[in-house]
Amino acid sequence: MKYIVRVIFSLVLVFSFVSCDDSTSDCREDMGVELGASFFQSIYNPQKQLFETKEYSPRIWIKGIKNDSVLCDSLTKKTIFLPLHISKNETGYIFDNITSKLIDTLIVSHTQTEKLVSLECGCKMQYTIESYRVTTHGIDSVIVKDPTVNGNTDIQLQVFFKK
Amino acid sequence: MMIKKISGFVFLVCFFTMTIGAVELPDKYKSFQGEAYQGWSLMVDGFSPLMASSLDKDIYYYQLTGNVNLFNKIFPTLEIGYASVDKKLPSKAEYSANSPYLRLGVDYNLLTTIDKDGKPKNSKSFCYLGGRYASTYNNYSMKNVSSNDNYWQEQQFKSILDQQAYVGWFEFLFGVHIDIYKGLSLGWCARVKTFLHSSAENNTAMWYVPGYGFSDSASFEFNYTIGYTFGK
Repeated sequence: MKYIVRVIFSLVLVFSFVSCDDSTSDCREDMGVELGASFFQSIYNPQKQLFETKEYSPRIWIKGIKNDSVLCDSLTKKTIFLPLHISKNETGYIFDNITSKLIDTLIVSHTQTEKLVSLECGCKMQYTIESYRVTTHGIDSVIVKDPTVNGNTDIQLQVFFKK
Repeated sequence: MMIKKISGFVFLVCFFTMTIGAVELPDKYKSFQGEAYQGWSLMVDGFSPLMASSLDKDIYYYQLTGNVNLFNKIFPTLEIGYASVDKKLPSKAEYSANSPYLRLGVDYNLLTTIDKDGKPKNSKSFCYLGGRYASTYNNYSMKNVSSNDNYWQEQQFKSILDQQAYVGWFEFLFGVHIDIYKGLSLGWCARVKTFLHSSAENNTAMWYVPGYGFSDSASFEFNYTIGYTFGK
């Protein structure tokens, strides 16, 4: 009888402990995947007689093409992280350089694959930059530093602005 | 969550060890006396599947345990079970898995098995520590796993169907086995589990592994058994 009481007591205690467990938790992973772009300007150094590349921080306004939401609203930036389409293979952005008052369009062609993170979080995209097109009103050129986009901390594009 | 589970387990071990109050120092007993074979037991985990179902109606499992009593001290144990889950998450993702699982290991009786005169005690009630190697060949599927992009307002869904993965894990357990009437027994055990290996590319893709539980962390489980001891 003494043992039975102990077992019952054990069951009650254990049941109350297990009841506190929460197994269906929310997603705790960072699911952001964005194209990192940093801004540069080539400035001619007459003493050394060559062009020197320097970081450039223009006041810039950026938004996606066919999207009303602004990604960067006239802020001074030297790097920017740009979201890519998950269901299209081209993503376009409008760059309005407030400093130089010149507007450009950048279109990035990419392929993407889905990588399953977890059931709670879903899939995370992994992009590969295939090519790009850019107008050259204020932008001088673009260099793809790294074609792989799988996070939101690394820089993939170097955007060179005209002086 | 992991710390909470481990601290809870340690608390339970300490609590029940003190409650039972029968654990003696190792140098007080000479355990392995008499004939090795002392019988065998068959136990059904009846209450914990009911309890699991009451907590989550989409998960159910059954488990059968058999062990052999050697010297009333060592209990080689085989556990077989079957678990099934069919769950729809708040994110609308769906996960289903069903597989049998197998656990093989040994329990060690913590209580003294001889009396003061050196004669074997005839007690069939004991508390124990044990270890298990467990494995399953998990068949699982996922539906409506989403990819989202808030800026472009895009969402797409993916289904990953008919996946298989061989999964192995280790369990450390503490339990109590009480003989209530002429071989009829009740018992419980608490176990912590940790992944050893998996053939799946991504362990967290398997939301629930039959026999292991939720794959996002070390798993914790209680079993309540009713059984019968045959033989001596």
